[in-house]
Amino acid sequence: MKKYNLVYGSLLICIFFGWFMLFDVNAYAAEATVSFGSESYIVDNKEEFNIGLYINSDEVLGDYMLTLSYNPEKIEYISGADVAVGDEIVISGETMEKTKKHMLSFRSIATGDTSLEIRTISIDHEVSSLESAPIHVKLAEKALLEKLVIEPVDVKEFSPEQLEYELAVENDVKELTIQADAKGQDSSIEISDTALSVGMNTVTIAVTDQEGNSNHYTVYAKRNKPAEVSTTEPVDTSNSVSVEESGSVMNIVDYIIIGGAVICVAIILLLLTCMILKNRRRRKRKEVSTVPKEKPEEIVLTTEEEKEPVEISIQDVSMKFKVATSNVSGIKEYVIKTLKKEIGYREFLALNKVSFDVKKGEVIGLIGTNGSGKSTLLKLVSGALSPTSGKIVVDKKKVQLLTLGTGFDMELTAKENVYLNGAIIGYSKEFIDQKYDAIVEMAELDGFMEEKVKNFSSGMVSRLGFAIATIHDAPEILILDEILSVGDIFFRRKSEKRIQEMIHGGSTVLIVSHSTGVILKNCTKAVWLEKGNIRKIGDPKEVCAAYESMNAEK
Amino acid sequence: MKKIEDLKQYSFVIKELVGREIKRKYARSYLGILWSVLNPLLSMTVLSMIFSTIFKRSIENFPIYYLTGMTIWQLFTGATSSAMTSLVDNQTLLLKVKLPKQVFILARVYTALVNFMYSFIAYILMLIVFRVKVRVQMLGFPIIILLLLIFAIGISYLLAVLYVFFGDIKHLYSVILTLWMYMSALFYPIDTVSESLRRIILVNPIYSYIATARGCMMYGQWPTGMQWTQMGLWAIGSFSVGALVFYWKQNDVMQRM
Repeated sequence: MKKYNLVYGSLLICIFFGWFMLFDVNAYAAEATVSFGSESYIVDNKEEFNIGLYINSDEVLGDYMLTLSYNPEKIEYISGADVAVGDEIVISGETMEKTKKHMLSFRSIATGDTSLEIRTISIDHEVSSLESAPIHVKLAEKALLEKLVIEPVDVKEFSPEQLEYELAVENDVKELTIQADAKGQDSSIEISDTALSVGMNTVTIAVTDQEGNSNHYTVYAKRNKPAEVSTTEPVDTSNSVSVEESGSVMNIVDYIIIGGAVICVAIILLLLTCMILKNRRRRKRKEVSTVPKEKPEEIVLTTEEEKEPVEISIQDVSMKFKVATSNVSGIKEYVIKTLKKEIGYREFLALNKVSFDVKKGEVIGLIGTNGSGKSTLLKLVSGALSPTSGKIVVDKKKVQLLTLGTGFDMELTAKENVYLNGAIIGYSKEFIDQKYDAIVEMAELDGFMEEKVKNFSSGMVSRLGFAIATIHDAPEILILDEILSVGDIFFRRKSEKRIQEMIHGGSTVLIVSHSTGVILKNCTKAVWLEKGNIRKIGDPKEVCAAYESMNAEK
Repeated sequence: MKKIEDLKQYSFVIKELVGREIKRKYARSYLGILWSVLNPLLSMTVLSMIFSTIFKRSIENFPIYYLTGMTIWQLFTGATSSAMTSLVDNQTLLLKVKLPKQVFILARVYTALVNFMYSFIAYILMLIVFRVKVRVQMLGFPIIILLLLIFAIGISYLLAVLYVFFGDIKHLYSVILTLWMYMSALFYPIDTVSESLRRIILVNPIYSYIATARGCMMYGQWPTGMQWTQMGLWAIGSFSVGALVFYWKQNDVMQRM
């Protein structure tokens, strides 16, 4: 079966890849180029000129759309495109041919260099190049500047043919002084506002000769930001500047998203405050409740023989559980009830001032009806819970709690479960490897180990659980939670034998059982718990007899 | 010495738990573990087909742009939302076995990482299909993932404790995740959103991991010092807060169960 899986799998991957490659070829083979009629254009001022635009492809073009942009201060669009808005023109269409030509007409309106740029292209092919066409509008000879002096920072290299200059000035410079002389004697010079604000500023110098031809010189002056800000947090300030510029653009969607985020944060904060409030109240109640509850009835175990050292010492241990009296099913209700202070807790006392000592090598049996606190006591000793008050003295590293099938996963095979369960109980991988055969033998599951546990009978599952749990050498303190009475009668005998081995291996043992038989057979001492209190403690025979007679009365 | 043995034992437990989760996921299918690679591969193909036709011109190599973000996002959500319920799911185990409770959370996060590894195989196939160049900067990717994992573990601790006390968190968190996803610039370039929104996205920790991962894998850029500190601080901050809360609330959690 597994072989077929692999074949299917690889077949699927092959098909998938073959198809994917096809898809890949379709989408990326066709290439298109967009280009202009000539590489650059040189025109006179105030002259009409044409620019050819060519779209070439190695396949049928289909739908296409191009956006181009130009500088409206330098050239003026006349005709040729489909749409013209602001400084952008749009060309679109549909063709079944491989090439398409468009003729665009412009008129130059100011001298100097400019260009026609392709902004966006949308064609169903890969586009190889985005181009721009440089346009040079001839300068007016008589309207050239001869000299240009700018204070306090001068331009680096002035030449009459160059129309654009860049400057960087310090923050304290608030205005530029510009002195300009034209070549032609009768030419007039106009200089725009020279006051500088922080950031980029543009100053234009318009030179016009007698015939009305003009050249526009442009100075881009960048005034730096205040020094201390720019050194400390350059990222932040640049952000805030740009925010000011685009602050008005913030649209409704942003507000909604921010609003949503704020609401979420608010809910979380509300929950947190509720939790804190609740905790504070609980702590107060605890302080109040612990003081007057000083019950005199303490059961102290009279120790007869002091030879063996005490292994587990349980001193005055109480365990309280809080059970919410009003059932809260949602956040809304929770918030309302907390605010109204309606949430109350009934305190459930699982153990009330229980004290006894367990000496090394003793086998203690815990009996009691359901809910008498046996399991809670075991959890306290094994360290899964901490007591509300009182103290438990035990070396937690020595404790081993045996329970059946904790963490068995029904979807996994028996073998996988051995490793999973073993790991959870605390066995190392090497140990399980080594003991694996012994576990299989013990559980009498040879030949079933590759089957899923969900197909097992309940007896098989518990046998496996028992085998895993008891395969380890007896630990110093062993806690058995309802582990006996597993499987059929033959296996039960086997398991009891194994438990006996472990008990006689010198371990200190705590056994929980409903059956007095188990306790009588194995234990040296019995403890009868009833509703969290110790009813009787001592010789197993006496305790079991008392327990059974009480049950008979009922 | 004992400590090291314990750690070894815990890592073994985590490995077994992860094995369970993964085997379980595909327990009833014929192809089994193959689905772990097939599934992300197929969904990536569908997504890249859709996105390469819709957003063809806005971002160079859009499918890879999207997939880089998506795999990282799925690692984070997979880890946190499964770890959130881990304590409650393993209730019986927690009460009976003396294991550190962190093990269950780490196991879930680790499961998410293993799933991520399978997706990563698919991701590499996609890189080959889209002819992305191999660069030295790609070595930065594992480090980014490691930092993200630490961040996710911290969040998982918090969520797992919260979930024990409030079952509602599960539903609330899924809503928050949806919002968070749209704030992480998974399928749009960050330049297209308005300034105010961009500032929120830039603060978003997940975005910092995604953006640097894209830098490493697609553009051959090492993360800047600023980005390293940002990622590191988020990771350490979240982890320490999460671990502390978990430690403080440990006993309350057990009582609650």
